[in-house]
Amino acid sequence: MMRSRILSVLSACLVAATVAAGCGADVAPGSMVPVRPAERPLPGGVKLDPEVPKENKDNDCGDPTASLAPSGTSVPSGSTMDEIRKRGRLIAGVDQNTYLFGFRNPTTGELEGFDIDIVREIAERLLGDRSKVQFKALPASQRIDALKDGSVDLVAYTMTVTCERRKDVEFSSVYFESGQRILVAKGSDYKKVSDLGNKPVCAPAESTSLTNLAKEDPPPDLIAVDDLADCLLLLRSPPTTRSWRAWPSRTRACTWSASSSARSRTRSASPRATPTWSATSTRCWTTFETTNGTSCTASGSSRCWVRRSHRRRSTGERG
Amino acid sequence: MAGLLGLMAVLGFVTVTTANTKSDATWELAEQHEPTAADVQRLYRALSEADATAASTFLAAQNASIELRKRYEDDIAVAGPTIGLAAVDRAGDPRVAREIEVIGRQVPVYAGLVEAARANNLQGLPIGAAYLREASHLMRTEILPAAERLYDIQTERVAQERDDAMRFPYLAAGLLLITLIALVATQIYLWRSFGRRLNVGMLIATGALVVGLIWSSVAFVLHASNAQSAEPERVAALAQARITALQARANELLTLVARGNGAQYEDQFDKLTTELAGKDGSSGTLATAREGAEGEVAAALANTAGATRSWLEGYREVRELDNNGRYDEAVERAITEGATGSTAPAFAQLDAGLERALAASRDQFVDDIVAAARSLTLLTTGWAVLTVVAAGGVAYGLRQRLREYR
Repeated sequence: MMRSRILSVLSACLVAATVAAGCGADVAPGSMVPVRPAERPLPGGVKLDPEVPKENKDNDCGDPTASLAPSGTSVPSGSTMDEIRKRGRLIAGVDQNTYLFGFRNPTTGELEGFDIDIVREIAERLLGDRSKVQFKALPASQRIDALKDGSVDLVAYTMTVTCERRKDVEFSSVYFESGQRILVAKGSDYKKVSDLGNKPVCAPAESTSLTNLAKEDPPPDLIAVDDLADCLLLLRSPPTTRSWRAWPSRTRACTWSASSSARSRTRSASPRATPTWSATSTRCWTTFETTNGTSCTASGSSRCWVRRSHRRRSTGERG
Repeated sequence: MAGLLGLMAVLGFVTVTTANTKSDATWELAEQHEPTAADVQRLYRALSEADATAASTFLAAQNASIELRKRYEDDIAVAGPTIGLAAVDRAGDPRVAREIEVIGRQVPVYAGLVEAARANNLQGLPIGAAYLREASHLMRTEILPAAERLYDIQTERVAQERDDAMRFPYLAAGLLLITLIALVATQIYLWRSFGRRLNVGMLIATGALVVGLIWSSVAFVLHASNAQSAEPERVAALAQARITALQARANELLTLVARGNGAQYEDQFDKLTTELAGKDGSSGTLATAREGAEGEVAAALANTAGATRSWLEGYREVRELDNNGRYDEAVERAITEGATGSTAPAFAQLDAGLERALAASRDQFVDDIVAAARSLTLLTTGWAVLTVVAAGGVAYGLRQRLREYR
């Protein structure tokens, strides 16, 4: 009698426990892998809040492009030219990433471009041999420092002559004139510079492009990179890194192309080549600061290309 | 009697599980954790090599060989299976999951960038170099650090598993001691109460436990001493030396890619080679590895000092050439395999030496661990049989005494 009661209590408990276990919280089908969107990386050396080179009104030097007059072709002993001759090679700071100006031809591995040809020309005049050049690739931000610390003899680079820069280095006479252009993706809605207010715009660090962009109202969100080519990477595929604070997903990227007046600094030999060249761009639509007559405004995408390749051929013939 | 039998049952359960876990853990160490750590190390190596190879291909321009391309592809192909394996071995470690996520996500992105660079290079467009720089930046700032952390976690796990395997089994030993004392006490009690000195059943039980005690002691001493001589630190030190050498090599090539603007890579190279070979070329991680090495490891490491010296000398010549404007010769010196005075064969010799040493030292480690595991062979079954015999003995011995009451 006793035993059967215990048994029935036991089985009742068991049933209760089974029912209670079945009534536990619902388990929804889950996933073990958190899905996150792909992150496109940033090129090295990207600065999201770059320091903009200031324009100082006190530095007004009149016409910044006024050149030193060469004091003849003689090379006095003890001069910089003499040192270079004694060394037997010219050390030139150049760009190795700007197509057709100073770039490394990926097929041959050789540096080529307009600035490179200028340097070779100088070497020929100074040393009698175009090949006696040691090239040092520099990012735009180190052009002036490299000249100052003497690690290069001259810099041949797409570099705008400004009074600010003339305080630190000397420029040759202008051998190339061009404007600065903004490059945007095809089919973008940007029609003028003010459309870019508070939009991410990329330019090389410590370039005049940054200074000019910062003067705009409203100013764009500036992004500085080491090489102009990095801007093109950002334009082609905008990064989606979480650290990228100001990159609205719908915005098409826009870069500031700094194909500015190219000048080199030498004490004497200054080649007389003055071809004009438009921006390295797939579509130029506005002229921001033109230092020469040529411009390719509005929807001049095909014109840009035709013009540039045409000029390229003409300078190529020049040597 | 019931108390003594219960004690026996618990003892049997504890000793069998202890012996079983220990033996399993040791085998697992040799068969799973150590290979996983080595594979993750190989992954790190493959990824660094992919980065260095991409740089070489870029430097060699049109002279880039199909072998270089193949080496790069083989290196990338290692990544997927390895992180899959590491995931299997992760044992719920959230750190492992995190690193695997980084590598799993970013390696395809890296490979995509390298292909973009290649496509642009083939078209003669210099933007290819920018893609390559971006790829290298991604590799060096995200993927490699994640692979290194993953390797550290795996190395740590190997060391930890080894220490666990060597730990003294307190619970089992304590229980065994208590049971033995209880057995002896019972026998003394029986002797006092019944005046019988020898109880066959109890004697068999005591004998079984004493046999177990001696067997286990010998087995565990052997196990511990074998596990002790397997030093995961030595394998880790060699792996570290190899990784350091590879990183230095990648930096050497990048100084040339940067073309006169590679001060940061030069600094890195100096830092890494100092770590590897010391300031005077005869200390650093390599020398430490050589000091404690014996047998095959020592033989494999014998050449590395010379190889390192000629590599560093070659590097200085490459820098000298580059700094004197002879860039093309510098590039040739750095990447041509088989040329005299070139850094490529010197580095290859160093790397091969380290690879052999690493393999030999892994061999030693696994041999020791397997020897440790073997010393526990049959101990599980042994304890199962012995405790059953002991329990049987107790039951038999006490039943006789109990029967006398009836």
